[in-house]
Amino acid sequence: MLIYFLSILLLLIGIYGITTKRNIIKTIIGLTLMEYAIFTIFIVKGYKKDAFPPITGAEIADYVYVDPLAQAMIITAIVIGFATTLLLLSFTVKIYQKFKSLDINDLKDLKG
Amino acid sequence: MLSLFIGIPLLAAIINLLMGMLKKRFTEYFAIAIPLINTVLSIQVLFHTLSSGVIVNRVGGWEDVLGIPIAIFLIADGLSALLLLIINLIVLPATIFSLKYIKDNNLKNKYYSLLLLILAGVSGVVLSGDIFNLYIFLELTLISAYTLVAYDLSKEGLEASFKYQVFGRLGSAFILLGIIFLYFSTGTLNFIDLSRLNIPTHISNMATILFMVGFGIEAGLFSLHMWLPDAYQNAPAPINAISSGILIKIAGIYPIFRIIYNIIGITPEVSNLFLIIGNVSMMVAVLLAINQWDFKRLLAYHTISQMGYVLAAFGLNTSLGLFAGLLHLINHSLFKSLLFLNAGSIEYATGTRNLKKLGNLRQRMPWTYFTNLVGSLSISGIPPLNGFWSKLLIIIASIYSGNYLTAIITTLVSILTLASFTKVLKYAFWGEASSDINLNEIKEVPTSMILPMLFLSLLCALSSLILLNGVSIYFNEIIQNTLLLGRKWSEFILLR
Repeated sequence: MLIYFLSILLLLIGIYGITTKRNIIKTIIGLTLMEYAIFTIFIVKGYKKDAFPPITGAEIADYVYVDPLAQAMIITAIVIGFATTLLLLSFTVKIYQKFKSLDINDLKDLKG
Repeated sequence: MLSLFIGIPLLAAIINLLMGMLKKRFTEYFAIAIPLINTVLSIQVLFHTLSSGVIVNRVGGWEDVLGIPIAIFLIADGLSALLLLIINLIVLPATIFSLKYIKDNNLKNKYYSLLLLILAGVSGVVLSGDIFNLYIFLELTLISAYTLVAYDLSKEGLEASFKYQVFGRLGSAFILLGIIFLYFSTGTLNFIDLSRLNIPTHISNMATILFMVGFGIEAGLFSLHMWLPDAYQNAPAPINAISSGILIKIAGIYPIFRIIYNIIGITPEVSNLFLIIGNVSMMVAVLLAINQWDFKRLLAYHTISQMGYVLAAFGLNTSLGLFAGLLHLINHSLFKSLLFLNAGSIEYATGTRNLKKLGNLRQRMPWTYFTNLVGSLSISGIPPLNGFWSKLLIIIASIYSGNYLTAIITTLVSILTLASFTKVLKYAFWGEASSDINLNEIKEVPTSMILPMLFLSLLCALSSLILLNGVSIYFNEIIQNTLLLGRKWSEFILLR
């Protein structure tokens, strides 16, 4: 139960970072923290104590196996998260080159 | 068969990127061929689903083990097939429009590759038969869209794309959390399985809220729409046409309806929520739109407003309401992409989108003027064109179901839409040009930009034929067999 509590705390820290921080890098850290919190919830929920890998044909009584799908999905989600973070960071480099600042308050050409 | 819709554009995107480095002219014609092939294929799929109901494909041919589906499912029912056709009908003219619109030769192959990735992504979202693949294809679409918004790396583009990315990722995080809730309460991700299994009420409520927020951000529903006007103002016009015409519908509206109607099951509370969000969306966004002087930004606010119509019509939760909502969704993709292409050609010819600076373009750009007239009349609901019929049906449906307030708001918003497009027509095409622009130097855009606009205005006129007796039966059947079935949808699929 503690680990769920900690993951949700991580999620809230992430959302706090996105909403209050004015620095672009800190916003990105907030976003990734939030995503990682969701991944953690996913992995912990899929975990089973004293379970075996899901290989059929094994001759064990009361064969308890872990759910492989949760881990497969999280690996996919981590890769997607990696790609989006990379894209966001490369945009940040371009933003710094154009605006000479990483403060969100300086990005205000668009209004209305 | 169905995997071709995703496979062809994905493969073409890679080939296009590599070949474009060697040969510059290759990339343009290659990029047009792909949506053309997909259009032909999607017409075939649509006819097939109309005659025999549903196509279910297991990618790789993996059969079920002990009754548990292990393959990746691609499902084309009537709704998916119809939306697939609309996707290709919008992407095709937008690609042809890009031929002359994109001037920078070095960026061409990247631009067309990203465009093809969007095509692959949205086709995947529509066809996907399980909820996690839907998420993956959604991310594929969004990553390409983020990049295309800042395609010219201008200051405004970068700022808009940054905003879009932060909002988009927040949205997909909510969607992922919703998927977790559904998966761990039922142990499956497959649409057919999910709609057969019993989902506990507290889980389904939680998932509904998470999906509404997540997909609502991608769809730009009101109060979650902050990224939308900025992103649309700076993207190239063909990308605007694609994202307003199909991306927000396929990435936002379609998953909401598919998941809430067919998988979780609609409740009166949720349809009331649709009704409230829809009404507020259309009212507030149209008021914001009237104030705008940037043509594209004005159109962006109208996109939010018109999506409000669709949501409100679905919120009525009657068969006529669903019919009208889906019809308006299709009509909106046709006329809004036409209007965005008009904005693009005005910018191409004059170099500005500011309505205050434009004027009297009617003489210099007759084709753009004509197609813009069709689009404007269509969106404001003037009788012979498609926008009128769907709006009329929404009003009739809301009166039948006793929601008089919705009927009043719909009519009022329609009048305000007309007012705001009269403003566009007056300032851009009639009236006097400001001193900043030399009218004599302005020329009509090239043929490759006129043809897509004419094609879309023809579709705007033709799509009112959906209401003809012989055609509307099929259209009604599509709704009866998909959304209206609710959670019985799985039985319908399994019967075929």
